[in-house]
Amino acid sequence: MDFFESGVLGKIFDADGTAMQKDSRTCPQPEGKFPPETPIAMAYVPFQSWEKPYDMEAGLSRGTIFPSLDKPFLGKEAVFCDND
Amino acid sequence: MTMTDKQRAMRKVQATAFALVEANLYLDSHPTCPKGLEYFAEHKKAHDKAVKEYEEKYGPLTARASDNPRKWEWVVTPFPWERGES
Repeated sequence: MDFFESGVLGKIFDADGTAMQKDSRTCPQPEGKFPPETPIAMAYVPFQSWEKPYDMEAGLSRGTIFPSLDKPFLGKEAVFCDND
Repeated sequence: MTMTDKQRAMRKVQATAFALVEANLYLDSHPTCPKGLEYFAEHKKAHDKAVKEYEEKYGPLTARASDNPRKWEWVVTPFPWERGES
């Protein structure tokens, strides 16, 4: 049992692979919609699909015709909270 | 600020051109998307019409749009950026 298995790390990274799987299932993580075989530590960008575009004038001034791409820089974190 | 007819005509050219750029980028990654293709076809017509209407009244937007048999319009009329639109 070297340092990794016995010490603090030992609690986080269980040496026995299967237990690790069980732990990652049980520890409270946001439930993503990724298929189970999706490898971790990779970046994924959801694929864009068609949507009702802005009319041309609005598109020109907003810089995109797709509402879901219309993400202006707000200078603060864009979180949907109802108090501001 | 009220727009002159010329500015309105130029704005239409710009808006339709931009719509085509957006549709182009979308279609690059969705080459068979029917809605995207339909959007492009529709706005291509609108853009060609807007360009035609503008050029008939205010002169060529590009050199190759000069079509006066007696003079090269592109240099004898003010350039698009000199026509006080922008």
